[in-house]
Amino acid sequence: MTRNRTWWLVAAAAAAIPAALWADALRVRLDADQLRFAAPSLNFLTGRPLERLKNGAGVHFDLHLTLWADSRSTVRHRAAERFTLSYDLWEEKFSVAHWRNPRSSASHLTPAAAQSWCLDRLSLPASDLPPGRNFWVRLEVRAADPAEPPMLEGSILNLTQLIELLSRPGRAGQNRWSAEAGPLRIEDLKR
Amino acid sequence: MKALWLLCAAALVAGNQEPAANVNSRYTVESVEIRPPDKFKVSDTLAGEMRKLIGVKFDHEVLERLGRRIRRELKMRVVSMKVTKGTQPDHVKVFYEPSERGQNTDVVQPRFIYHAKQNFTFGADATWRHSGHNFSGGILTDNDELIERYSGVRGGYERSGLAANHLAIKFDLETWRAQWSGATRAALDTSPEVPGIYRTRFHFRPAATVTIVKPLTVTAGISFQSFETQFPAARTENSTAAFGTLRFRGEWEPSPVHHHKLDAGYNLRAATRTLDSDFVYTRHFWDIQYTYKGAHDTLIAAGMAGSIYGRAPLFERFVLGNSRTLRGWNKYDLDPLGGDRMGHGSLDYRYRWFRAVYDVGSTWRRGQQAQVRQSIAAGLGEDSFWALVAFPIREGRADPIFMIGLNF
Repeated sequence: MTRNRTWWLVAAAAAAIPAALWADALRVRLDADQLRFAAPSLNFLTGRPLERLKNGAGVHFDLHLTLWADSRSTVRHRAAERFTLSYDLWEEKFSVAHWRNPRSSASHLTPAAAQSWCLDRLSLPASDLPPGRNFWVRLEVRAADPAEPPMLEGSILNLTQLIELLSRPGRAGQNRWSAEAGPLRIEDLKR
Repeated sequence: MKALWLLCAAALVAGNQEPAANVNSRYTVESVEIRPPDKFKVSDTLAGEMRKLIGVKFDHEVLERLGRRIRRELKMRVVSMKVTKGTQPDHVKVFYEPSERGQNTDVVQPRFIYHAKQNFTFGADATWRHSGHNFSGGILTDNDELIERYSGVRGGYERSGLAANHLAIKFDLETWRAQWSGATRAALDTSPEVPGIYRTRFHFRPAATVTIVKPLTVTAGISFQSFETQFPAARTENSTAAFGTLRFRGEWEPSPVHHHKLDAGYNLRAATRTLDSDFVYTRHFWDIQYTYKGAHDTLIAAGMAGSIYGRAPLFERFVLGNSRTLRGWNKYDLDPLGGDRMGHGSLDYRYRWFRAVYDVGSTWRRGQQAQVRQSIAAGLGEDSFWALVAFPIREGRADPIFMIGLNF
């Protein structure tokens, strides 16, 4: 009986490994000449940022995409966007605003819909990806620290600020999430 | 990785947009409170700032700034802000919850004084606070406060926040070994009316403090002291005194850079045969201190006076000429036995790290003429650390006294 239970535990653990890998998976599809992304299992509305949102704060999230080619030795493309999320205390739904020009926003969103909305605003060009060659994509999400100076918020960065930003150490426990896809081939992607 | 976030930032700069409004900015603030309200008291100025935010549109940044001010004023490490739906539609309630996490818990506080005429005083006190229970313990050798040098250990327990935060009870326990200067011993030979010196002293002091109306408090308790006398014969004597203190502590902040504080009190100690005391006396002590703090300067004006009627042990007698009173004088030169009458005033001015002090005062004995003495001192320092050179104001040669202090 004890031996049976041990085998069940081993089997459950083995089954959990691909599930865990899948949890951080990034889904990639081809939309005309652009790569579009989805990460249904990536939840960045959690922890301290969610707590701040539920207390009426607006929280900035930075999303960053990197595409590698040539056995991950070359960064081919990058894209980065900042979104401001807030949680409507009366409606109990999320709102998202995108900083890009033209500015766009959405409201009355569930947590999953708010995250998808952000990811839908990110794309990478696919026109220069040759068929038959592997590439990899990584999505990183960072919740801006509330103590972070608002140097990124719509102001022109000067050299001093750039150096300061480069030399700033990552804070312990800073909220970051990531998801990856690859190796992928352009001809294998869903359209 | 940092470079990637830099690119991210650069991409944002290209857009150069104003940050999107928080969706909650359309709501109106219904109330701004500190929880629990009976536990924390803020200045009138800060209370006014909190009231100003009621009825205006929700602005999270402004409310966070207010939270930081509350944290500074209450000297808390953490003040959490909570926002909930209001009772009226499209209104929100804001609560600040100060937390004692990290506030003076498990603190070991070293103390140190060097006085050129009276040598070292040093010790350390540890405190541990948890949910209104405060435990403390420490070691000390002190040649500053009293006529004697007393060395030993002390401990205490305090329970605060009782009776809707109107009552606190406290128990202090101290055991000291006393050492006496040659000047004191010599003076005793010519002053038979003053009780003799002792070798050890044990002190137990239970007390209760009642907050009548903030900021007025009354403390009452009993001080049990037993000490082993040396002369004329070695024996144990008791000095048991009932005591009461009426104290007023008020603070005002008319603007963020002007802070006024007033601390005044009256203390009465009465030892009687009814309490099985070998000494019968009453001791009155008044003190007042006004503090003004500006952006860079601080002015402290202080005064105190006291009188003793009856025959009180040496540790009850008044001493001037130490690190806090008549700083240019040595207490053993003024009166090596201390006085049973005392009056003292001081002005302490500080500009950034510079400090200047003027002291005036006298101790004397009943029936004697008071001789008023003055001193000036200058140096560097602030509340927790200071170094002063003090001069007595008198005719003829005046020797400076150097003193340095940490957390005294």
